[in-house]
Amino acid sequence: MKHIRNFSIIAHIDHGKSTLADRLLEITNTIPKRKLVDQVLDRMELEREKGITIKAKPVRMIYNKNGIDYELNLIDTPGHVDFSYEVSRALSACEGALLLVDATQGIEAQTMANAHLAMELGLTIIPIINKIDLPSADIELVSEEIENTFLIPKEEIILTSAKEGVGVQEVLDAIVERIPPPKGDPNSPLAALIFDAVYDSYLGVLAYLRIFDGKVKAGDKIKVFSTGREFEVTEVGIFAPDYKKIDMLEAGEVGYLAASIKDIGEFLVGDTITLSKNPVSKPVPGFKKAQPMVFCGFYPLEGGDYEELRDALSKLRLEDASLIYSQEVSEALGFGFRVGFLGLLHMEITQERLEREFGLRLIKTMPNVVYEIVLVSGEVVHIENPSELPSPEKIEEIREPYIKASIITPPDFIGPLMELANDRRGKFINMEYLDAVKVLIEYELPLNEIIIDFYDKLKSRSRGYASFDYEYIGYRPSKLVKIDILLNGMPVDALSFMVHKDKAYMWGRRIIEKLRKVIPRQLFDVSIQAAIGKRVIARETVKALRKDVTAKCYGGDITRKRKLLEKQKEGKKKMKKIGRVEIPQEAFLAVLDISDEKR
Amino acid sequence: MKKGKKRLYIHIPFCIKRCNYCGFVSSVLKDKRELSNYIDYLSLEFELYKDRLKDNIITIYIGGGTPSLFEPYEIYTLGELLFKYLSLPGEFTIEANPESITRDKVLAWRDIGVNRVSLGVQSFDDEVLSFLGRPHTAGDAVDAISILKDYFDNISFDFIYGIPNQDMSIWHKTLKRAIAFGPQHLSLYALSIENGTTFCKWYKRGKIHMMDEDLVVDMYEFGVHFLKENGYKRYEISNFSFPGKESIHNMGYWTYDEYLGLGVSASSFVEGIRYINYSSMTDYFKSLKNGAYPIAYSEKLSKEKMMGEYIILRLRTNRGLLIDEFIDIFGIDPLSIYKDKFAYFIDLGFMEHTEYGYRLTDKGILVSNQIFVEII
Repeated sequence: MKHIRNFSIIAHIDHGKSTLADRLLEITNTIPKRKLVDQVLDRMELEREKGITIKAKPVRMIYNKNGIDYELNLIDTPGHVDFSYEVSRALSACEGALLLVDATQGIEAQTMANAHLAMELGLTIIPIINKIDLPSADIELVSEEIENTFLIPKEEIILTSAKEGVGVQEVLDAIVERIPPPKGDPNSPLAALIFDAVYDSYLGVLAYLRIFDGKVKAGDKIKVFSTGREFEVTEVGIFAPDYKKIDMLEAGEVGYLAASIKDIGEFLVGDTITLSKNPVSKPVPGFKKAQPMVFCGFYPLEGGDYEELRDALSKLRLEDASLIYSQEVSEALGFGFRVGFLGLLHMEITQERLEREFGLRLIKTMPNVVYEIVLVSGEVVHIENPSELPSPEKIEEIREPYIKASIITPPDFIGPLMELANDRRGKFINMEYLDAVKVLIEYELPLNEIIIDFYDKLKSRSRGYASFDYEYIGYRPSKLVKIDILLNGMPVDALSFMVHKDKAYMWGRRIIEKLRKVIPRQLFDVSIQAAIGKRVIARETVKALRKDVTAKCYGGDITRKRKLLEKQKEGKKKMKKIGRVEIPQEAFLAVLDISDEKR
Repeated sequence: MKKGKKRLYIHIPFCIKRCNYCGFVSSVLKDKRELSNYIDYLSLEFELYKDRLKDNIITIYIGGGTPSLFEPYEIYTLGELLFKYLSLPGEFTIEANPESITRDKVLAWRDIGVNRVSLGVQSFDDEVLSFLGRPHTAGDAVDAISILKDYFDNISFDFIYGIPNQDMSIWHKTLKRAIAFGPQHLSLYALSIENGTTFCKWYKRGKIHMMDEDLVVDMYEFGVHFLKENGYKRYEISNFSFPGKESIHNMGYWTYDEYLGLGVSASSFVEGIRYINYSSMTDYFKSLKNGAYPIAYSEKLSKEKMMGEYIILRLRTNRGLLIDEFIDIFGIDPLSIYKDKFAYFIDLGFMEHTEYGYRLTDKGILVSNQIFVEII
């Protein structure tokens, strides 16, 4: 056990985590160079495209130092705030972490949040400044930043260019020298932390485990701590880097376990596995069930694709226990699903995977947070869809989730970013210079205000320099109202949304103006109204179409005319009918980017 | 479709220059000999259809392109060709452009039996004409009209409205000048931007913009009103005439009669099948050389399609849909299929009852595509 090192890499998107991981695999001959696809750790096409890692995937390397073979287990972590709970569980499985910072960018908000988390968990931090080969690298400044932010002496910093292979050997040496070997007793009762779970079509659900105490082998009867459910182990193995079956996993080791399980919900991240016979008395601390924070409706663009959407969601759910969904019926959009996500990226990734891997075309309704409603009766209910909001006289109080946002930015953009945060009902908490070129600004904000386009705005107002991270801080009472959108007096359920009352007019107006632009002129006037309850707060009209006539219809070329009409008819078929009003699919998408409109 | 009486259309796909808006199949005439050569190929096509032509043709329409490019000797050749296969019909129209009209040609037309001329005046404003890319001026049109009037008493003018640089007063003046010549028939077409035209290119580059829809509608309504005041009756969406001077040929398209189209890109409708000839001259020639029908596309219409087509074509006309005629052709009461739709459009004020069936109202005509889409 003393030759095992378990570690993660903490880094911001694009700071070179995957490239460094590739170099480690190459030097340790875990994967021969010729087989190394760039960024092997990033499995999915989507991950590779977005340059981010969505899901942690461990890999085991053997590194020989001074004649001794060390087993290095790299537990990769997702790099986005949506998955911070997964990050924390992955970090819990390690004794150390590489803190990788781009020499041209310096520390970013997510890096800071995750590094602090690692330090709180007692991990040994190995600071690395990467991309030192770039002309714009400022090693001195970034060293200072690391020193000031994390109180880590500059002397500990390793300089690398993962791309060029510079400094990678030192990193391997530091992993062996600085990170302590795991502690634990192979003869104690089994205590294994599930830090990830995936679905494998041959083996069923695999739990990725860090064994803290005890040992486990095929044939053992195991018990999942939170549920008490018992299973028989069919296989254990290690990541070498492909699944490699071995006889036994024991204290200190990282590996996988299969037990012919079909439902990924049986192995929840953070849960503890022990043996049915002689179980541990206490689980590995820190388990919680991931709660979806953001919901939206997914509807098939073609009504007939409902079954396909259902199958696709159930397939995604096989490998993503945090994805929840339930059937929803919209008067406007027909049959679809209300889907819950850990956060915005999770939502975006899920939508893209549904579209890309399953070839579905979707309408996504405006995302919303989960509201907590205190009823006059004293009962507290949570609603995942604005249309479920009880009638006003039944409501005592509405609460919405708040977050604490940490924004790191060059000082030049403090003004515009604070303006943005204030605009989004933010409450200023703190501002702190990390060094001469970096400022940390902290705000408390309603989650609802950041789920639409906060991140994009943050990026555009800081010319891409600012980074952002957040953590949930709980529910707070708020003056919220539900806005309904009516077309010729008929409410369109899929367009309802919740907003703070001070912003109700502005949002209502913006949405109906947007709708006025995307709803085609019809044979009659179409009135578009935004209303709170029965009170109309804004109104627009799409004037009736005056002209749609083919003047020339002679020369006998009726075929062409008919085909044009048939095409027009096809277009009409794709519209959704609300009463007599036909609205194009874009109308539902248009409301998603209303804030792109000039204010 | 109504069998028996057929109309004959002959397409002449040559012009001296291509107009900026025109999407019809036509090419710029490079060598005068192309015209006689084309007539030679037409004669091959006539030969293929000789059985269908005999004693069946009630109208002839020579369109283009610019049929007035034919020199008198070519016109006589064409005349000989025609009457080798058929007898003189009641209505015989030729399309003409002001710049290519001469007294000799007009005489030749009359000699071979032409009794109606459709003149592409388009506008009486020189700036508008030059914007459209027309190869003539308003003065050329005036000269052409004066020649035509010496030989014909059934003359039609074509005009275009809704042109970006044209305002209401120009349109008004054009129509006023037009009726001063007392044409028996007028066609008013709203400008549309067709694929592959110069306007289409300009439009995509943002060099021109579509005229405001309301102004186009105003121009159309002005035209309808003005012509009505001067004795012209609208008998189809874009066509106006003195009573009894409707184009019998064109009317056939809207009353679901059969027609045979010869020449490059011409369309035919025979025995429930729609045909379109090759639009490439090379393909057309090649096919005829091999003794084959130069047909690029054909479609046998289902009864449903025919019923839909019949209604939308009929609804373009002033008389509208005739229930009894529909029952005669299709053996089914149209109301059993379209009753709810008709009721919806009547409710919105776009359709109305007539003694014999239904027709579009003025308001309905303007949005007729929206209505047709619901019917096809």
